Amino acid sequence: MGIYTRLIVKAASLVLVLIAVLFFMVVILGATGVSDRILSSLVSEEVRLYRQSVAPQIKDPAALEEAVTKFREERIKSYGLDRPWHERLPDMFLRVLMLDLGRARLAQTFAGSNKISDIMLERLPNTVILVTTAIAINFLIGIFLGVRVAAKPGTRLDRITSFLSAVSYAVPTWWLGIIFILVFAFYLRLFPYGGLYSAPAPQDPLLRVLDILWHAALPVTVLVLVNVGLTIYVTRTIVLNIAQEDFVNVARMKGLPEGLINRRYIMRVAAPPILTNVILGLAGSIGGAILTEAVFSWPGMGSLFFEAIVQSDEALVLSLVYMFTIVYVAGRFVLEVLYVVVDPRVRV
Amino acid sequence: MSILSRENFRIFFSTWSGRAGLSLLIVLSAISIYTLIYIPVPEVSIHWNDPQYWADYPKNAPPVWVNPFLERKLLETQVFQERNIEVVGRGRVAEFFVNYQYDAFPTHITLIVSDLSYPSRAPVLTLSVVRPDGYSLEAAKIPVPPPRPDEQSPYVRFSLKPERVLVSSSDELVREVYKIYLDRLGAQVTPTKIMQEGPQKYLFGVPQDGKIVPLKGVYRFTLTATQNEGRLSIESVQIILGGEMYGFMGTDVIGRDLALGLLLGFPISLFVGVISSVIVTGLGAALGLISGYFGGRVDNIIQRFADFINNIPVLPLLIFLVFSFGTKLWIIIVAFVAFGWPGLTIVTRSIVLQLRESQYVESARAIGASNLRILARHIFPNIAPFILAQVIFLTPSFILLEAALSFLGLGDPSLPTWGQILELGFRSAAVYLGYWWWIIPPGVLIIITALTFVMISLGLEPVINPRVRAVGRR
Repeated sequence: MGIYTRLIVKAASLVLVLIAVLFFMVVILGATGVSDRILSSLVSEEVRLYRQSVAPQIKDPAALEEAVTKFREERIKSYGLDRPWHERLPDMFLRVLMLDLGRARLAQTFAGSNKISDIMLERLPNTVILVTTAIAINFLIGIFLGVRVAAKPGTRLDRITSFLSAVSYAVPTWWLGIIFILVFAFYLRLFPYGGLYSAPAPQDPLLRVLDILWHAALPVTVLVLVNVGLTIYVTRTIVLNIAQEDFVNVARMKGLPEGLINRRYIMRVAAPPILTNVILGLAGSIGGAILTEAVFSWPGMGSLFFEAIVQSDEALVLSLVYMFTIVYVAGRFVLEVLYVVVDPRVRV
Repeated sequence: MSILSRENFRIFFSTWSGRAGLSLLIVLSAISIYTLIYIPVPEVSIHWNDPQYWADYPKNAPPVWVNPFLERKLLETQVFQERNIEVVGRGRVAEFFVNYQYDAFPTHITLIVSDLSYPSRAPVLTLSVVRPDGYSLEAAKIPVPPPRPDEQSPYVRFSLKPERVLVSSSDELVREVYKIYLDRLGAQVTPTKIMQEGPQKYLFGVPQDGKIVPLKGVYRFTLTATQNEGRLSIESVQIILGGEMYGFMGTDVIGRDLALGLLLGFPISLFVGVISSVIVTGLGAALGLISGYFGGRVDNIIQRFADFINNIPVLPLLIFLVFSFGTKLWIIIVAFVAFGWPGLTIVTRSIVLQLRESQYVESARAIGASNLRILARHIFPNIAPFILAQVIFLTPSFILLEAALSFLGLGDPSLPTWGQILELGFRSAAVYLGYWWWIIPPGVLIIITALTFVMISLGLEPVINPRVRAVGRR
């Protein structure tokens, strides 16, 4: 299989996953009656707008009422609310796909729009920035330390990292975030409680970037701290296994310098499985980001989840699940491309 | 060799993580069993979300054991109670001695009388207080409702709903306190000012340099029945001094006793974790067995499904499922099962694929053993240790997931869980106000519970996977 075929197959299967998730969501929405509620609120919103627009022209209250009722019935028909939910599946499917889900109940964009697609587009980059930064730092630290630890298996350092990675598995990201706020924002007053900018945000571009970094410090640290233990541990195990292989021993016996052995004989082989691990950890990182954003009121999609659930804004929850699946699928694809770069075997 | 052999136990106990994990598990189980036996869980769960029930408890109060560390001693909420009281004629109904040694004032004083019955004439109950400086005053009067024309003696009052008098806002107390301050203590106060600041402050204080400071010493609260004839019986009389501290773990914004909520969290958390893990492991292993042993189309379908679920971001979809089906505990567990099984199925399948080709399976088949028998006698025993280890390995992830869902507002509202305590704490800004007693303990308990299973899992590793033994002993 050539590179391109491989990438196309990967892309196709990921798109298939996306479609399957969408389909699954739409079926559940229909079966639980949630889609009825979403569509009805769309209808009443349109009816309200219609009444406002025709009210100046139609002076007779009875005639106005009649026109509004007629409009309502027409809308109900066009949304398919008069038909059972399974007949509406394709329509609902497209609606979610295009994020054409009307307006959020309370959530708004910075400029004041409450259209769901606008909100999503505003929040998406913030989530992507947070997740990618955290994953990148996590793996830089994790691989660096993992390789170090693997060089001395069985030592105290090795055992301490194994234990710490086990402990970090048991720590909920969001709780650690809360504790960080309590310690670093409430008691020590070193970092802000949350958000993306100070209010008011500084005008100077450089200061603005520094301001964002200052706000991002705690959430990124929390995300990294919770995940890095496992990364170190997994990297250590992979590297350790490869370091015991015959070809590495032969290289040592040939008298090659240790640095060269590490780079060419061990890391070259270890890179693909480590990357596979990054891919497997992606879903977890996204989940952690949802909760971390909520804790730090980071204005991404995760904190929106927190609000949407309390406001029981069904359309918003639905769009968020969809958007997170897209982020995941896109992230997966980027990593698959990286995999092709790292692993020469798939390029033959 | 059986998984429960003595040798395996020895290996397990030789690891310190195994020992620590198992001891922790015993402690957690003991606390859960204690909770289930001594706390009426269904009843408490109903009270838990009823603000009325917690009305007399202080809000956002730190635990009492903080007091020794404070320079200024805060008042602990104190409840005084006398039960099964019988009085003939007029006289003393109940008497409480309050040893007041604090640097702060009570937030409120409440008198609660329940289940009273009198034979003929309706009594009037009067609460009077004698201060350490000898001044006495009348704090409240409770007129008991007189008999109705069609009613028979004895007349029962306050039985369905106890009579609750907020002494600290009664006009009587304001008047009496004003009188004492004006006549005896010679302080310039007005009734309006007393009402605004709360008469309980003046009741427990003396003027000093233009301010009111706490008067330390023993206060005597006496409840007497005036205008009574015959035998008056009262089931319970309670006086509550509202403080700024409460109990062993403090209270939250509604005044709920956090110690109670945290205790209830133990059995719920263990239950959710273990049950989800057992079902997930059972289902995952069964599907893996079928998939690996029978192969063919069944194998294909199961594996495609597993691949699909393995390839989707789980938390958003879990949120979606619980959000659209409702926040019930069983729905949460079903959702965990729906997304949890694939990992184990894929691994079990690969093990079974190897076992299927082994010689003893082949010979069993040759002598005509049925598929069921081969699966039960030859394949299952080989993967049983692995499956047992998986149950323990998966448990913490479900404990953590349940907590995460609760924190997002998707916990089962009929059961108090650690995640929900944290959720309310976060939503009502406990973090920004520094209410650490509300934020730290639930999280620590979640971590300890999850860690228990992680450590047992670490201890089991050399038992399940003999190759690790050498490393473990080094």
